[in-house]
Amino acid sequence: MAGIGFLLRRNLQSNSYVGLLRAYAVAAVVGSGPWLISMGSLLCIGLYSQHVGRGTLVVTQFLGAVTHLMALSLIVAGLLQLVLVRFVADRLFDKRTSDVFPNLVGAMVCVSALGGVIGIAESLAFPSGTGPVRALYVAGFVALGNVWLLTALMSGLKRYLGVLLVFGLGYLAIVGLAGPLARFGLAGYLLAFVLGQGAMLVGMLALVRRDYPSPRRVSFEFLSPKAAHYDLAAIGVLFNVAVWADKFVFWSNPVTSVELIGPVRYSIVYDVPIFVSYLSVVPGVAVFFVRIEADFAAAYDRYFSAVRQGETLQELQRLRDELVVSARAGLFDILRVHGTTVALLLLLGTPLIGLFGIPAIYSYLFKVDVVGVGFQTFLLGIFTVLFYLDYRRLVLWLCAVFAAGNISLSLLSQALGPRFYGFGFAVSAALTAALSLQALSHRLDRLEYETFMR
Amino acid sequence: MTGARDLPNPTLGPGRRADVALLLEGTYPYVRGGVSAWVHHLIRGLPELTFSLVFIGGSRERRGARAYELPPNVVHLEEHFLESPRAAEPPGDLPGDASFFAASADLHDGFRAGAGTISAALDTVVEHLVANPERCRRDFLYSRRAWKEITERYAAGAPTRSFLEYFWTVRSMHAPLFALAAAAARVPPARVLHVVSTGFAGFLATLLRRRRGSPLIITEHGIYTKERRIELLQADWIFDDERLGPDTSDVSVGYFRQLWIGMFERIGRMTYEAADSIVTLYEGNRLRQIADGAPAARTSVLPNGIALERFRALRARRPADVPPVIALIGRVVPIKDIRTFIRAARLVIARRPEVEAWIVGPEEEDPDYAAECHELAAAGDGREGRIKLLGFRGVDEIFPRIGVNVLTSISEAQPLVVLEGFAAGVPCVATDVGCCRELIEGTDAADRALGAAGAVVQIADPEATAARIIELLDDPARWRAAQQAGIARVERLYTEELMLQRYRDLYRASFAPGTA
Repeated sequence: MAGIGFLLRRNLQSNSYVGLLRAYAVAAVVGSGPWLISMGSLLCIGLYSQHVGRGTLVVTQFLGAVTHLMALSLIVAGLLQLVLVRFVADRLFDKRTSDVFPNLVGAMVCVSALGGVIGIAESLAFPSGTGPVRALYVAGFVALGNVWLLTALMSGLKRYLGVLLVFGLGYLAIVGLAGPLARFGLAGYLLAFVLGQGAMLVGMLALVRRDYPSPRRVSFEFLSPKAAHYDLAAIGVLFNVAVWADKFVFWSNPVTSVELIGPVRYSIVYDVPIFVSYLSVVPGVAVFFVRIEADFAAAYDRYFSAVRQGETLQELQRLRDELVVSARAGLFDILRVHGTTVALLLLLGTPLIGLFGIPAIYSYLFKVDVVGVGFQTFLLGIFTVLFYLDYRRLVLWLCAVFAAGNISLSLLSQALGPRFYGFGFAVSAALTAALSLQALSHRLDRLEYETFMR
Repeated sequence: MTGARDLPNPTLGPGRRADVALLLEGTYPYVRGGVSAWVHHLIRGLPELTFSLVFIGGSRERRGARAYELPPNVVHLEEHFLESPRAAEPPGDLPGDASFFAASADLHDGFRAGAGTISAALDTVVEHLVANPERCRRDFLYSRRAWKEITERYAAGAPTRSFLEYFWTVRSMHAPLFALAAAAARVPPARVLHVVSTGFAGFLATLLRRRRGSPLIITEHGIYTKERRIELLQADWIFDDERLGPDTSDVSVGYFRQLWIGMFERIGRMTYEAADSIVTLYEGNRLRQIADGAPAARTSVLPNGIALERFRALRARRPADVPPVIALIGRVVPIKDIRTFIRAARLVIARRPEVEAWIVGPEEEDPDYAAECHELAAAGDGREGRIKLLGFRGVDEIFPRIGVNVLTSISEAQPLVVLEGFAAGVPCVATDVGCCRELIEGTDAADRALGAAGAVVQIADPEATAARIIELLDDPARWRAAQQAGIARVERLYTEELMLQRYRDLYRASFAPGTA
């Protein structure tokens, strides 16, 4: 032939359906577990203190400070949580296990620096004469941020039991230390908290290091443009901003909140109902988590293995249908279980909320909130499925919608008056959930097209 | 490579055009070989015409430096590559252009229906492709209409095959076509298009012919689709469908190989349909082109010629007696079937122990095969050293020293080495491939009257090959008659001047009136 020198080569798209570990998807859901333990423990401290009749203001200050710390540290950690977990998942897929620990340390350095700066800036606005409180506040910020980072990583590595154990022991220590240290006032409570968080941090760090030893100490490779998915950073921040937006709106309005320590504020009408209602997601999340880990993950593997192994399109469509069924079943379980939970809570609502020392008039808000957190959980479930299918850009948009909705509608609800408190959160969560469900359903309907052509 | 070969490409200014645009797939001026040498001679032999060269390669990285110094009448050289870089991020939801996909569906249905049915659909497809190649490419890669088209044809044609393989085969088959469509927009105008193969260059020529209306000449030395077919049947990068069920009609060729082969056949047909003049080297190939869809009225045979003077001079250097040396001059590759030559040589040496057999040609192309040939040549039974692989040598040094020029190829077109041997006074024993029979025995009555310039044997037949060689070596009168027939034939029918004159006439006839 005409001296033909070139080969016809298949330009197989690299990695397009190589089954990357989608662990970070699950991390998003599992992440709410430790958070619930945290909330539960803090409520216990609150109840216990009330029960023994110690200084209510100090306890309220403490709970307010910790809540504030959690909100901000989750947003800060959100910047790197998913980025790091995805990076680690990719490295483990490449069998480069020694990259895990140094990059974790690198991420911790970043989170500590960012958390430290924000914490110091905030504590400068604290009233004078609170030196130890300032120091402990900054330490708490740094410790919490790192704990969230480690929690996400360990969940991504499927060390669920380790996470639960560390959190259980850690908060047991905090509750235990809170008693003897209570006599030092707010600083004492904060010291108990920081010590407990520090212990959790060390514990989780040791677990990761034991499983993924490395000769190197620190690496920032997870930030390099080649390895990082920056959209995950935006998702992490936006999602946490969205979840906390209504709280900040109520904290920042002098009508609905009071100052506790400088910028740390507290909304008596808003905070307790919503945090108590967060406990209601436990059953729904647990059931969904099992579904995703068992049925959906298996259906997902079957579908993508079949793609790789060259099954017929007909078979792929059949497996797609199975995948859709399992996703639908998982999401439906959230609605079903959470619906049941809500029904029970609504029946018990008023007496239950009385338990937390909230006047019965706020039980109305509590009812709105349990519905709202139900939608938020549902949304989280949809995000998990979208993460599995690697629709990061879509999740980013949905997080932005949720954040914008929660901010604007919460402001609107404040303007409309107390009868509408909580609706900003509930309606924005519901709208975003509906939008997400629609988007997910659209993608799943033509999964094969998306798998091959996207 | 000399410095002159690394000079920047000559480029035609805007609004200017060459007389002839040569479309060259994987050959001149970057790759050496028979076709490249032919192109070089053609350009140098027609200094009164200007040429622009459009080179089509696999990828820029593998292109290499120029292997030929460009003659001064090459006024333009540009390169296009089939591997286009992939878009970093697929665009969002893309519906795809309805009229483009409708025309594409018509075209593909037309392929299925048979010859003479693709013209109208092809024009619409070409119009879209050339007008907006990038959009067509994106539509093909990402749009929902493309997906619909691919899955429907899969369901209709291959519902039991690996979809992954089907999908990527379709993608890989079509991707180069979009790169060529993008190239078509940039090729400078010329009075006549001349493409030296069908295939990808042929596809580009088809696009240009249909869009610009410039007359198109195809010259095929070997038949592109046939050679592609052989290559594809051997290619190990094609997924062999192991799920061939009992329902499969053609179990000899895997489904995905058939898809590839079919694509090149269709491109061949499109190119033939678009061409104004379809030229090949000998009658056998012309018939093959017609069978592959070339309209018979546009086909013609235009054999290659050689520069006689150089080889004429070699006759004076021949010894008085016929040298007891037989030689195969060609690359040491399987298509030349060197092993059959070695086996025939052993049979000859068994009868005539003074005979030596030489294999003259480079061995780098297929080192494994070359090693096998060395092993076979050296196999010890008292004839060691009589069969020699000499590597690459100038033919001027070889022809005066040999008695019979042997060619055992399993495939050839018009092997110039046979004609060169004739001109140098060496008869030939060759396999019945390409136009070897025409060269040795003659074509029409007048030609045949010149006599046989050697003998023709079947492929892979060492016994017959050896017998014909011995007949020539044993009978000096017969040998002299064969020598004279070869000299007379090459001097009458196969000179370079004759070939150049025929192309000069062909180009002139193609220049439309008023374009001079």
